[in-house]
Amino acid sequence: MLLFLLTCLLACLPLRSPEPACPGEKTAVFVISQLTFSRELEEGVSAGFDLDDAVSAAGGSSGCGLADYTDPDGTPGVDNQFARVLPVLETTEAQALEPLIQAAVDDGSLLITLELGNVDAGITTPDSSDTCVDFALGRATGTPSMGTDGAMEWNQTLARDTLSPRSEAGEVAVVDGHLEASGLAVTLPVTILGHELLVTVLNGSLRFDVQEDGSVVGTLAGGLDQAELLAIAETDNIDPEVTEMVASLLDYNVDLAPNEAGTCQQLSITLQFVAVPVFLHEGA
Amino acid sequence: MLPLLLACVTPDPPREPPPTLEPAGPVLKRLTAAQYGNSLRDLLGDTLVVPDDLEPDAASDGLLVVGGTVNSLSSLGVEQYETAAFDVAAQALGDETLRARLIPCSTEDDACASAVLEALGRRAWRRPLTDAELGRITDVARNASVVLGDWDRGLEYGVASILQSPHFLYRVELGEDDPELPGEHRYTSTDMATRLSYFLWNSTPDDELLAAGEAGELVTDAGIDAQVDRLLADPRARAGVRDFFDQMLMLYELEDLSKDPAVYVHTSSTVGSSAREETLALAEWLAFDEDGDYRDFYTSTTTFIDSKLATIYAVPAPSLAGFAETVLPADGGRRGFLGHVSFLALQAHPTSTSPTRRGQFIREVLFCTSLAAPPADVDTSIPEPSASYPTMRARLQEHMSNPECSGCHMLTDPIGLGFENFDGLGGWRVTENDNPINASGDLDGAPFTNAWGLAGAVHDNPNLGPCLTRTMYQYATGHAVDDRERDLISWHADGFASHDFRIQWLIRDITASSGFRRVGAVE
Repeated sequence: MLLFLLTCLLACLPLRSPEPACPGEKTAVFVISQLTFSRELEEGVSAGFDLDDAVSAAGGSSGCGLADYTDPDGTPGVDNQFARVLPVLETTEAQALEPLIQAAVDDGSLLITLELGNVDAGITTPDSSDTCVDFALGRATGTPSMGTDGAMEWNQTLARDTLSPRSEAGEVAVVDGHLEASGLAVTLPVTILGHELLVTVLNGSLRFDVQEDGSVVGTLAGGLDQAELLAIAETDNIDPEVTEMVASLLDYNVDLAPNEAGTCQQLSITLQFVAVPVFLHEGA
Repeated sequence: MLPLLLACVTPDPPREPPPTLEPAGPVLKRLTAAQYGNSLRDLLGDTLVVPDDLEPDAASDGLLVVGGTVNSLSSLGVEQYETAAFDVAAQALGDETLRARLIPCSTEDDACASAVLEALGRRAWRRPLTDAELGRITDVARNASVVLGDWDRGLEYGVASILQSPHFLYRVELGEDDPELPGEHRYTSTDMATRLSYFLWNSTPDDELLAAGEAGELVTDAGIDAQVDRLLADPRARAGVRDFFDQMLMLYELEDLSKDPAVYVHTSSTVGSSAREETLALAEWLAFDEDGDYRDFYTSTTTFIDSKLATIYAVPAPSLAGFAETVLPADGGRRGFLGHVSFLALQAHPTSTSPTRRGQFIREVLFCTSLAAPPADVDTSIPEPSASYPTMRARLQEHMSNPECSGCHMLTDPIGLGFENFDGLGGWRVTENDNPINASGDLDGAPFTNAWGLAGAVHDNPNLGPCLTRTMYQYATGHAVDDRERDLISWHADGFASHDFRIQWLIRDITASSGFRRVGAVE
């Protein structure tokens, strides 16, 4: 706790000033329109984040003894054990998991918003920079309208989901269209197959880059709660053999959030996304 | 405070008397589809489903109402009116609520049928039926009821007779000798009831207006002014103004708007209807809620959009359901009607913009300037986009190098190119084929750098007010104006300008016009 307070104090001290830290008046909102899993690109390489601030090796003391990946940019310590689980899952009834997630995006049941507040001049191009914006993850409701190309229409207006939790990362910077939100601790409910998965986003778990066309491409990482996944796998409409396999997979692959006994309780997962600019309607 | 009070009570400055007019002769006006539907609903009830399988309207001199005076009806069109009349009659007798409204009496006999047909005939034909006319129609109903063995079915035939009659389908306004000005003619008081009603409401007169007409009140200034006040205060006047702008701006064509979905991802089957509603809502708001300056129609940032249009405009939707008022951002580049999808998409091609069409629309529809059609033997195509001609401006400049083309294109293209920041559906863009768009130009000596500035130049153009005056005069009188009316229209236009271009003022002024009240002899 002392270390945490010290870290926070050091991190926040330069930002304190009598004036509002983020004086901009504009907002920029993006909604995730495409969501896919970050897979293993080659042996030991997968895009993602170091969620537990540790570079874990197989059999090591951190990450419950599971080896981390290396990001394609060479950054070690990437926690994304789901990339190892996914190929196995895809040999079972869960093979349509990714299309189902996309279907949930398209039908409006999974509309994750990236909300930037107190923006000075807009976050619309790869050279957009803003030394201080407020960043939050939220949810929207409604059925998104699709263009004639089958993709979610840009600049449409969606209703803010006031019932879902909103996670505020606080003040971050956008540098040349690049944003990294560290310190996020949020649980996003994601409904898939009628079941609610809780994707817990731990510190430093989101980044995106603004593209030439004004969309953003990014990465979102977090931990899937083992108990939640087991509960889903044990429901009546899933083959008991699959349930058993899922339980086994989780036992061998959970790598985050160790309890007092040192047993990890979450499975790291990384999602890659494309998000397009939208507006949020605050009314009912 | 005192100057303000004085300003409020200061009468209008004296106005020159209107120029004398040699009025045009009477013309028969076939009801437009909108007038037909509005009239039937006003006669029989709002829940009536008006048949739409009718011969389509065709504009003449830019207006459907004028087209109704010059376009003949095909034999198929006559049959369609007959079918529609029986359809409507069946609804009127078959629906309990509509039947109760139509039939006030409880006895199913000749007297009741005659009373029903007399009352309906008076409203539908916009004048009392003669005894002979009523007798014939009542006979139709009686004979049909005997043959069919059903009083209601018989009455259906009587109702259908009234509704397929030329006296209903056509406005018959022949006028009369003016007793106060021997040798001259004026519209009769009952003619005036019809003229006022279709001008202000785009529908048939109500009982009060008909009564005023039948009482001879509508050949006096006081009688007309009183009814104009009443009609303008009625919600139906909003429908009248909407219809005028719908016709003038040809917004009805938006119902068939077609864009290439591979080029315009925002297009849909409903975007045309939405665009039409936006523009009509702005016109209604400006005329009635603001009693505002017509020129502001071209510069207002206030508009009324649904979520689809908001998406195209890249602005937050003011409501997630239906239309609502919003104010477009001052830095968004878009304002007024010329920033609406209705204009930008309709005056464009299915796969591209059309600066020529956009410019031509402003010249012809907003400024009433006649442009010659391209000669029949001239190639009107422009170069395809290429490295040499990457933008529409470059392609048109190449086309204008042909002296046969440049004469007219010089009048249209420099204006239309001012809208090149809007694609063929009305979406904003800053580049075309990766080249920056140059939207600068000049409108009759007023330079502009983009569509925002062009809207201001249109607002300030001296042709704008006189053209609206001419078009509204033509809409009100229902005939194509000719040179004999030019001075009178100029006089109205001057009045319009001196009254801050207020649309309601112009409507009132035209109802007082000799061009609206007087008629030439039957030729």
